[in-house]
Amino acid sequence: MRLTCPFCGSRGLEEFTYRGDALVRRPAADTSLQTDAQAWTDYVYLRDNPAGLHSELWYHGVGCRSWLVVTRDTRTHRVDDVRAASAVAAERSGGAA
Amino acid sequence: MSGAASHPKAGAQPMRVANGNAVDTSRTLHFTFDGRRLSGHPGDTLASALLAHGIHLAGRSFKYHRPRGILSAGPEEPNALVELRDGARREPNTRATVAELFDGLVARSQNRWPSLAFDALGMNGLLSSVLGAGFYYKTFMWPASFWEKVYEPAIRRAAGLGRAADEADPDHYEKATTFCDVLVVGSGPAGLAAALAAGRAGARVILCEEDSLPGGRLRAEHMTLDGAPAADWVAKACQALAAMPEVTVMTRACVFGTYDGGTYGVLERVADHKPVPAEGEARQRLWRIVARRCVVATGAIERPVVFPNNDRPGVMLAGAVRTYVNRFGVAPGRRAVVYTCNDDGLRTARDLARVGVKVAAIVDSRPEGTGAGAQVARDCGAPFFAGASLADVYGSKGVKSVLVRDHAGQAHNIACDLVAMSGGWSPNIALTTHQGARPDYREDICAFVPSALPPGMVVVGAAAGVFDTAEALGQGAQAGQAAAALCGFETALPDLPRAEPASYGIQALFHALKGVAAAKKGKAFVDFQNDVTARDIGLAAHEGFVSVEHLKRYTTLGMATDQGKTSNVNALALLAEVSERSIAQTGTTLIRPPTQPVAIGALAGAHRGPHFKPERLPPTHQWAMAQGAVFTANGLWQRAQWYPRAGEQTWQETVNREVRTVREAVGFCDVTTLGKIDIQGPDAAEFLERVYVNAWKKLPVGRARYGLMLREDGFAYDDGTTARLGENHYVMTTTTANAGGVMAHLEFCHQWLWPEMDVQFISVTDEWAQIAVAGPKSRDVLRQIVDPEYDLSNEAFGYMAARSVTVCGGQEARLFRLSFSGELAYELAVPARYGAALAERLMQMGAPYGIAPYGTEALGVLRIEKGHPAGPELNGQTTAHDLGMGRMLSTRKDFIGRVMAQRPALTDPARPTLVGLQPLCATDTLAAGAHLLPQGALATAAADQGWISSAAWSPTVGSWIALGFLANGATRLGEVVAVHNPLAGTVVNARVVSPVFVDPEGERLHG
Amino acid sequence: MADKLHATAPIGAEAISANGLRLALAPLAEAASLGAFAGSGRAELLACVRAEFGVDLPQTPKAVTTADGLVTFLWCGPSQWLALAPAEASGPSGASSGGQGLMARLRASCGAVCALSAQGDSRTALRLSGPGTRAVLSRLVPVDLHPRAFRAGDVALTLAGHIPVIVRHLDDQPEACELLVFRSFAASLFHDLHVAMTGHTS
Ligand SMILES: [Zn+2]
Repeated sequence: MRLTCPFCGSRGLEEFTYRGDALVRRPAADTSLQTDAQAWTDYVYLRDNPAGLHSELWYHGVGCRSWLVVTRDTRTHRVDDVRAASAVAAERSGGAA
Repeated sequence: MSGAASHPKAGAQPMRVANGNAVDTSRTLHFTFDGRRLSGHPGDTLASALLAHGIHLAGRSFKYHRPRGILSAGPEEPNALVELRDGARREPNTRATVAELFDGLVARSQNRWPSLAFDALGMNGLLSSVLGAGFYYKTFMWPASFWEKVYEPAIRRAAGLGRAADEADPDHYEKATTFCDVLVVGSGPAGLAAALAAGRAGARVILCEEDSLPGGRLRAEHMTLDGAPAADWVAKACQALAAMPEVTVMTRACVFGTYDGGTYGVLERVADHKPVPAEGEARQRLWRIVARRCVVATGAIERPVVFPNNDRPGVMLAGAVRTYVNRFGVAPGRRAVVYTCNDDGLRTARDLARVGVKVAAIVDSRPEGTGAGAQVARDCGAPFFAGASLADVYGSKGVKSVLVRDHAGQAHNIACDLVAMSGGWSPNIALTTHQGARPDYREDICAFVPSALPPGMVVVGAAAGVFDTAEALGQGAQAGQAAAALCGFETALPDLPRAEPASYGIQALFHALKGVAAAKKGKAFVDFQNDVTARDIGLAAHEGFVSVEHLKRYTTLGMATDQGKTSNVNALALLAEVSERSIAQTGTTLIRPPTQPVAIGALAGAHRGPHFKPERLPPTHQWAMAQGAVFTANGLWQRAQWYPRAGEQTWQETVNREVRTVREAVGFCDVTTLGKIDIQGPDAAEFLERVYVNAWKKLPVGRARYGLMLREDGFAYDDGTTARLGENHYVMTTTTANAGGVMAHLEFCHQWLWPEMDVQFISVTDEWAQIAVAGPKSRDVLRQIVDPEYDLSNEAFGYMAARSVTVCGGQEARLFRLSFSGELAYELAVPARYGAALAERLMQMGAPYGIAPYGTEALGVLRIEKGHPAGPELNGQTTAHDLGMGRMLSTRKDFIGRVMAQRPALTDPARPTLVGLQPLCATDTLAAGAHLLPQGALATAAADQGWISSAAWSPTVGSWIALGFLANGATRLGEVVAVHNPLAGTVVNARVVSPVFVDPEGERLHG
Repeated sequence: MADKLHATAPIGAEAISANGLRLALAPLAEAASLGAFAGSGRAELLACVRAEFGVDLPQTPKAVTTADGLVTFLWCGPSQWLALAPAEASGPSGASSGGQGLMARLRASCGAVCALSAQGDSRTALRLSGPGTRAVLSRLVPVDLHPRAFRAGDVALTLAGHIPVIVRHLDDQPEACELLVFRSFAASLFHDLHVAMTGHTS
């Protein structure tokens, strides 16, 4: 499998490490540090296992050290999109604000 | 020159009848087969050279030990598997049909047992338990005269294929990666045309041909292109390709797999055709080719026909017979029967007749009036049987005659020594299916063709079911042109040669049996390599194995090294018939890479033996070597384990001495391998707050602090000290093992969780040679090293101080007052290039204080004595609470792992927590991994209360000591527990103590 | 005053030649990483470097060398660069080039807008040159090295076998590439390159 790092270009799988689902969100820590146990359990342990498009985090560890959000079809390994995780995260927090 | 002596070849190779287009008969090569001295020519394969001598019998079959001959002329060969070469280069299971002949080649048949009476009884004993009684009697009760015959001096071993070499492979293997716009697989008419078209467009083209020569069937057929022999056009096309700078033609290069993202696996047999690779030459090279487009022109594989005794040596594929005649100039027989269901098979009769082979009969399964059989038979002067079948073959080690059943059911016994059979051609579509696509069945050509293709791939020529040469040339050229255009390279189509039209006219013929199960007399083989017969398929279907996937596994059909290249379609047709479905309904099994066997050596490449993985060497490595250190691997790092001195008898003695040196004087140890990450930015302090459990904002510049990181699930992840070098500048240390992982973790937290934070990371692990200097005399030694303007007094530079200094007259350095041993200790960091010199200087300046280097073993003893957790304690299953650090967890901030660490199960006091253990008898050994049980309890899982994580002989305590995890550990100090070591079979009584065995008040540390 | 510490090379052999190729250590006098701070830091860093060194920091995987040849800036990630001062590039004063001076110049010119870390001992530079350099590298480096894809000035952060490297194409006349590798891996990489050059496994 190959991934096109938005910074480094097309590279073989050996340059990347896989982390998993990019859709799970770390529950926000409110100022009182109150916690929602179920939200944390979901975040740490529960994952969907879709047959089809999957949004997932990869790390270009031996390349530019960027975390990437990859949209991949789990049935065919077809990669539809690769974006810098920092950009996706910035949009997310910008959208939430 | 005249007389018999001037024509030795004629006598030596009686079946060499013509000038093959790929064989140089002006030179002679010598080789041996089963010890018999034989000859051949450059361009021969082992198979063609054997056939030139009239030798068909090449081996014995896998299961039934039947004599087997050469079926094919290519990589699909299921029968003629031989052992090549001798000694360390001995290689089993090579196909005689692709093994290129070289002078001095030593080849042996396989699956026979040459040492006879002596071994027979031994074998009897070995195998009687696994072989059926029938097998036993059939195998061992032959008459003694049997053993004396030339080609049957052996009985078969029950299983296995040939003998691997006993010695290490002496050859060198390479791996390489390359890229291209257009990969063309196969160099027959379609492949050559595709490469010519894409190449002239200027695209980067790689043409891979598995054979030693390009041309494919153009070399195998008696045909013309532009009125000249087809091989001439092949040569011209190759010249044209050679003149294109961006085109690479790789021969002996098998594309064995299609992988994701346009990646192809290719095995290049660089030196397999030589006795020994040239100096510095690889034996084989494994290529990873990344191609934007791929044109698959892999041709087709001819199918055998299933009939009784169709495996007899001398029964061959019709197309292979033509290959031997046209390419190698070898007639595989003197009297041939051609058995076909299509016009292509009839060409064999013409080619044989042309070189003087008697065509004894043409047996055409098609009804009278279809196909060109009658005309061809007239031209060859051969009897013609339309609508007929082959019902049996006579002769065991070679064909003596065949039984033809004509259209009226009349039997005819026809003497012959060669049967050329054609069941039609199956497109070679393996590369199109490696990613899961199931091919489609086309009734009109009785074959499977590719369906959905991997992205970027097209299939042309016979591989796409196009068997006409002119059509294949045109299709190939168009595909090459289109592929190049998609990569941005436009061009007109190349000129293509005129090809003779050829008819095919196939009518389905998979087996010649009247009902599959009716083949009672004589075995009718479907899979030659795994000895699967038509009856086996009938039986499997009868027993309910009607899914192709079940059939395959139950019968082992197609599961041999040839992957059923010649057998899969026939098997499906038989299964379809007995299960009363169409072939399309029956479907096919998946074909997986590799299409050909690939040696492990090629997959490993140059990374083998001691170079299997790289080594990381700390800055003092060469110096430590010179000191005679013993090394140990710590991940990829090579670290000094201890430094033996003359007179020391055991490593324990050395380590005890090194530990005592640190406790009583001063020692030093290279700790460069600990991960070091430079962290800078306005949010650096806040960032540390979030990744460590403890507080960081109030750490002053010039101080260091111990930090613990959790995983988000609340378990301990890593620890180390982090020093504040400036307002927004920290240097973090990690464990050696997790250095890379912590870096990825920090980048993850920054880029994904908190992208708004302004902080930068870079590894400085390799930048600094960091040396721990530990012991009561360490300050005295450092005063000789650190430049005098720096005050090292306890008041000025106390425990956990950190600052930049200069050493040895102005050399920039960093000094940290850290201690892993519990002694007064420092870590001094200098740029890595000065690390070795610093070690030398420490030895020199420390000599008056009794300094000595210590290795990782003493380091381990020192930290166990001090109760410092390390890898065995932070094993991924322990929590801050377990480690006795529960109170470090800040309650005033968020940090990774905070929430999940509070789960009741993770803070349960009953969880095993860190304790020290000391045996009641000092010399009783404690071992890591031993279980802790209540005294007197049976060693059961239910009674298990914990484990020992680290243990050592402590010269300081004068006893074995250990760190471990014990249920309710904090409340059990003083209690005696049983330490059960099931590996050693020992139970030792040990007292639960504080994990800090040395200086529990920390006076030395702060001194 | 005590004697100064002497430097030790990261590998024993300094150079080998085989089959028309040469593999040699290319010592660094100094090197430093530049990590742009957030906000306007990136634009400010570019401006500072342009003012002090007269070059634009590359925005893609490339290298750029100052007009005086003393300092090369390599792209190392979306907000990170590596500044290299090779030992052999000698300044007008004859003093040790950009070395000794590099970190000081960087601190003075852009220390306020980026994270600076010394990297001169973290990285070892190995230079492979001669006809067939690309072919030898293709046995270890899994990126497209073809002249159409990898030209002088191009940089790739990737692997050589199992070892992380930064590959920089230096020139085509003659073919030459530089590999920057963590110092601790240098001996292994030197060995692997030697094998790729000669085909010998020892
Ligand atoms: Zn990247």
